[in-house]
Formats: sequence, structure tokens, C-alpha cells
Amino acid sequence: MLNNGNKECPLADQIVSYMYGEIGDRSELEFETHLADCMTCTDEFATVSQARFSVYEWQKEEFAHLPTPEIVIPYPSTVDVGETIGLAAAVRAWLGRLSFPVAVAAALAVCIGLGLLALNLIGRKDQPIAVNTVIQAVIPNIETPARPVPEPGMVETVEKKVGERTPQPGKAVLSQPHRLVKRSSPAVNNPSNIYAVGPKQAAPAPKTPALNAYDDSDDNSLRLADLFDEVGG
Amino acid sequence: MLQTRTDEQLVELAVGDNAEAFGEIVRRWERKIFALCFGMLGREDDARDAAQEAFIAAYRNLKTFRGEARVSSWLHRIAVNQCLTIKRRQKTRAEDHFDNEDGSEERVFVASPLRSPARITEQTERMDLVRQAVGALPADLRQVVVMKEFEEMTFQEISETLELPLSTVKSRLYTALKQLRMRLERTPVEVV
Repeated sequence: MLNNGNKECPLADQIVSYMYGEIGDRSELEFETHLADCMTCTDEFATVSQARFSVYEWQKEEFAHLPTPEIVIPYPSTVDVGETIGLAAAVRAWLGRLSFPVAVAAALAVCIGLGLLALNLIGRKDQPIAVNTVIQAVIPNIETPARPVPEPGMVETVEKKVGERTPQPGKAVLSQPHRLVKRSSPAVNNPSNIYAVGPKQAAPAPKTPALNAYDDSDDNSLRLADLFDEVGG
Repeated sequence: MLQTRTDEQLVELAVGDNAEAFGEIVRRWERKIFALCFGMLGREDDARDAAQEAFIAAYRNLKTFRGEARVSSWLHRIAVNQCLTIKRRQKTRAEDHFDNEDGSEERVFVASPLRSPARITEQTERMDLVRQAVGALPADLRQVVVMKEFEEMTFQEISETLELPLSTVKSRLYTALKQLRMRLERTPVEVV
């Protein structure tokens, strides 16, 4: 139902449909019969018709005589989509649509990208691609003092400290501090990737040079003692 | 001074064989009756014939006007009946001769034979008013008016284009035309 202020007539919502000839044959006859009897609908129809005619007249006066403009859109040359084209032809066609500097830049970018990809593949031919590279912490190999082997006949005395756990059979005993090592991302969030690395996996500790084994015969760098000698005269 | 008289007074004068009084009625209402006929028939030449016959019928039936209804309603009813008569006549003629099958004669615009400078000025002013009135419509209403009157789309096409229910499209057009009518009546063009 249209909001036309004429809710008494059930056919009032068909005024616009009838006026534009879009009401249908059966409804048209019904509406015409109603229109001939209903003065309210007749007045309503007259009101709407007057407005419509004003717009129609305006359209006719100002626009109807104007020629339809011929619109030409300068589309660039396009590739026939119907044909099956290869990758190289598609790239050529794409580059052909670009201006020359942009095309050169795009071609260079593609070449650089392909080169980097090739280098990457060659460089990783010997080793698997590091998806889950393990970052291992370097744990200094702290040597534990060797436990004296009891001589036969000697009675071994075991001093049990308070809080010290007695190793149980079937369980490994860590002889030195262990650290938790995580796999690199994206597997870092997976708790199963967190595991302990024992001393066997740790790299050997670098040797610390002895201070007294330094030979300064070949060292010509400026020293503090030389400065004192010069100042002192 | 017939121009200051009401429609009812003019009818009374016309009943008393005052031809000028009826001429004033015609002058006041010819455009509106023509618009009504155009709304019913959809063609200017048919609407012109219907309006002509409606005024002739009104003149012949002046004595039947009892003053119970307004003169406008009385004229509207006469015009509607004339249009219905013309439509039935056209339908019968079409069935007899099968002419105008392809609709090629639809929307034949017949220019008014008498276009005096005063008429042209009046027409220009009216067009300005319509342009302003259409421009002042809310965008959603104006959109439907343009699609219907300028692009000659059907309600179904507008509904599909705007993705709106059919009833909403009709309602918007109806509201738009009512608002246009109100705006145009507020600033009537003085008929010369």
C-alpha cells in the first residue's frame, strides 16, 4: 500500500502502475472501473498526472531534441581472451600496455627477482631449506670431576645431602645444567619443539690464551710505557 | 472581472449562457485536464483530443453540476470518462485493423501549433520551475523520476537496477510526483 494518504481505496496503490501502463490487463480493467466511480482516486490520479506531465514536458523541451552523444573510449589494444596464451606472451602483453620507462623497470624487477630465486635455489642445493632451523645455545663443556673409582676392598660411603634426589632406575640423570632450546618460528609455539640439548650437542669451548705465553717482539703498536718514557725524557 | 471569480461562480455564470465564464474555466483547467488525459492515454495527440472532448462534454452538461463536488473533481471525472471512451475505441480499432502492432507510433510528439511569444515565455518559466523542483527532490526520489521519465525504464528494471522491492520503487515515484506537484503549486506560473 502506498503512503498516499488515501488509504480508504484498496486500489489507490495502483495509480502509478496504471499511469505508466504497467498494471496488467486484468488489473487495468478493474482499476478503470474503479476510477470511473471513485472521485478521490480520480483527483489523486489527476494530481500525479499533472506532476508527471510537467516532468515529461521538461524532458521533451530540454533533452529530447538533443542528439545522443557518440562516446568513444580509447581502449588500449587488448589481448584476445579467447585465445590460449602462454606465460611469456601474457607478460609481453602486460608489458606492452605499460609506458616504456615503466616497462623497463618492471622487466628489470622481474629479472632481479628471478635471479635471486635462482641463486637461492643453487645455494641451498646441498642443504635442506631451513624451515625449522634449530638455534642451539652454546653450552660450555664444564668438566665434572671424575668420580674416584673405589678400590676393591674399600667401603664406599655415600653422603646423601638433604633434598638431593636419588636417581631412579630407567631415568636419565643430568650431570650438568641443561638449557631449553626452542625451534625457530613458526614452530616456536609448538610445545613439542622445546627440548633439552645435552652436553653431547654442545660445541667445544674455545681455548683461553695464556697470559704468559704472549710474544710481543712483533708488536709495534704504541704502548703506555713508551709514552711514559718519552714524557719522562 | 472573471479572473477573480471562483470556479463555482464561473459555472453558475456559464449555466446562465455566459460563454466567457466557461472560457475562463477552460483557460484555468485546460492544462491540468490535458495532463490527466496524458496520464491516462500516454500520448500527446490522444490527450489533446480527449481534453477537447472533455470540455465539450462539460459544456453540454453544465446543468448537471449540482455543486456537491468541486468543479475540479467534476471536470476530472468527465475527463476520465472521455479517456476511457477513447481507450476502448482504440482497442476496438486495433483489434479490427491490427495496426500499430510494433508500437512505432508510440511517443509521437506533436508541437503545439500556436506558440506565441507569451506562450514561449510562460513555457520557459515553467521549465525553470520544474527544473528547480526536480533538483530540490531528495536524491533517492529524484533518481527514480529520472530513470522513469528520462530513461524510460520499467518499474521492474528500476527495481533490479537499484536492488529495491518493486513496491518501494512505485512508492518512491508516487511520493516524488506528489512532492513535485506541491512545489509547483506553491509557485504557479501565471498563464498569459
